[in-house]
Amino acid sequence: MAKRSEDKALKMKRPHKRRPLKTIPMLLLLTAYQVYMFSQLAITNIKELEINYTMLIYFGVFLAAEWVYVIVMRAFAKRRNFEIELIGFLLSGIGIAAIGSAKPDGLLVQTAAFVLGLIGFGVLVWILGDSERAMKLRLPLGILAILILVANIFLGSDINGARNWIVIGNAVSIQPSEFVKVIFVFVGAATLEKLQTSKNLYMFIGFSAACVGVLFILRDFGTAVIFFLTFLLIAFMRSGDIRTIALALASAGLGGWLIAMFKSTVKNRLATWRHVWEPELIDGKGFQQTRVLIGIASGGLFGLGLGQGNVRKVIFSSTDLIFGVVCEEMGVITGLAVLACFVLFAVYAINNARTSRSTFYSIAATAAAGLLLFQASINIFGVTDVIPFTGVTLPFVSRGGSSMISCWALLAFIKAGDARTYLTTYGEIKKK
Amino acid sequence: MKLVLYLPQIILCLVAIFIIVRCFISLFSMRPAGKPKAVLINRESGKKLAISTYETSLGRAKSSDIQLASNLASRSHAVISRRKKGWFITDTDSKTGTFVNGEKTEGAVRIYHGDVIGIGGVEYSFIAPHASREAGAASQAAPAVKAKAGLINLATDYEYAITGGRLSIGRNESCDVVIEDRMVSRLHALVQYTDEGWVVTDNDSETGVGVNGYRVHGSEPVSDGDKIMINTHTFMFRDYRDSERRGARG
Repeated sequence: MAKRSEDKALKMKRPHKRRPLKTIPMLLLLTAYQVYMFSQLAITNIKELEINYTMLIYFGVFLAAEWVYVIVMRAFAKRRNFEIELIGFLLSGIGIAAIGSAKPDGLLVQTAAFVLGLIGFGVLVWILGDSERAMKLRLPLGILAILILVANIFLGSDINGARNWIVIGNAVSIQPSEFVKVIFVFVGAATLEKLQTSKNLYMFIGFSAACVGVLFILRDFGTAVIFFLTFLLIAFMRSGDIRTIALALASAGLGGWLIAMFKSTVKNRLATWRHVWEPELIDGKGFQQTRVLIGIASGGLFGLGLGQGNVRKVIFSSTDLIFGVVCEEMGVITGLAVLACFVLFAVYAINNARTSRSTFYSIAATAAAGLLLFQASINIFGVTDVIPFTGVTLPFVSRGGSSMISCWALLAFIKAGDARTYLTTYGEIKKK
Repeated sequence: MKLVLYLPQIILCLVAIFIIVRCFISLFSMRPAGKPKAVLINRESGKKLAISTYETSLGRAKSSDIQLASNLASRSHAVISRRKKGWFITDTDSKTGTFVNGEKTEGAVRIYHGDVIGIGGVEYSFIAPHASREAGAASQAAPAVKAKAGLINLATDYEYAITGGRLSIGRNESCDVVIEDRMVSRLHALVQYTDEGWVVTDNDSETGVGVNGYRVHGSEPVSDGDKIMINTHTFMFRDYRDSERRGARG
């Protein structure tokens, strides 16, 4: 047995670069950040300490939900990594604050949807823990998605030019296409052995065509574009064949041109694009885009403060134009940070694809991150007149219960793509 | 005065940036080290084919993870996958079929250590010591036996169970604990159970192995709570029998 040589004691440093994130201190910092944001809105008059208690309750529920989730997951699911959830909390918090400024009435639904989304996230991460179980769910979920969309054709209500809403009892309105997004990613993903059988891709092409077709019938063009881009991503990941993708793009280009020619709404939006500052459009069809651009400029790098902006007074400020509200009141830096989150989610999902436990997780995570990035890009570049304006929401941030729940469900796929999530499931690392 | 009023807005933006940057740095840098380990050995030539991913495709195609030379093998012949329950092989519509111990497979078939897999007229032995048939049966009949020793990565808080009396540490993917660090040798060190108890052995590594701050020459005994250092990576050795004994005494 060798002896220890004290003279050659190793001067080893503690690892600096790879120190893991400490969840509780980071959550405390995030809570402090959110409390400051929320207090700007809830305390309406600081001198006389007038407080909006209703708002305070919503913010309290939001903060409590974050902490309960982390504590429960640490205690019962033995999770140690919460980076993805923390970014989700940050984005959702920015959204809640912006909605509190633009449309305080929407806070009840948004907070409730956040709680439901968080529960759904936890459940979906558990379901995805076993790729075989997830694979068995694909067919019934695919059928359910088609049924939901077909039901939307017959039961849907026309709101803002699209028939993509189902109103239940004049009180609750849901957007079924938001939930179909989640199923779309679920159905698109597959384990390697399934991918090796060629007929599998044709089934998915048929499913995608059905989904996009129904969305066109519902005149929900923005969502149809998001579905199509996600389809391209999934098809490429599944087949690795660039020629198939080129063919799909060419056919979509032709279809898009035909729609642009014959559908008046799309034609109008294309006509407005890059002409919003023209005198006849500035207060007309380009009203929203110009106000957002003015708001971004007036907000500067760090923003005017919550409740101090003007974009919040513009119609659809809490949904389609929320990016303008964020930039004006919280600063361009915060706005760009929101966009950076979606870019980084996509880079992370692609980066993780090699180490993932199954192609099911790789495809699902990349598709989910891609979908969120496409949607965020269409929203942000649409309201800033970089591309034609379409009515899609900014994930996690815009007002909308269905959107919030589906965003958290999509985040679950990214979480499942992180190999650390299921370390204990595969018996390699024991629960501590 | 204006700057003072504006300061909270600046801090708010910086905090958001800090949270995002810190979370993504952690996401990108903290990778799990555990990887599946199995080997296919060609029974004729003795050539070893390493399986180090959770899903491994076998076939004649260049895109296959393991490219087979046999003309009887299909371009995409089969997939070996490590699932929650164990290892499985699935024939992916090959022309000549996939065989396990002489029987043609249909759908996903569970494979164990020592099974003979026939693909394209060539036989391979499947080697995965942790996936023996006995271990599989035992795990189904009784709850998993608690590992007697473990190694905790103090940076990530993860614990690697030492179940086979031996644990390899190094940069190579085939190691039990993979450290993606150029300063770590391919097979850097071994933690193993010997007649003299648990020892850590430096496998002639470039940067050495430390135990509680002292350099190891050859092998060094380790006991519960000892800190093993591999370059800048620190692990805590846990001997549960030792700690149980101490608990019973005290």
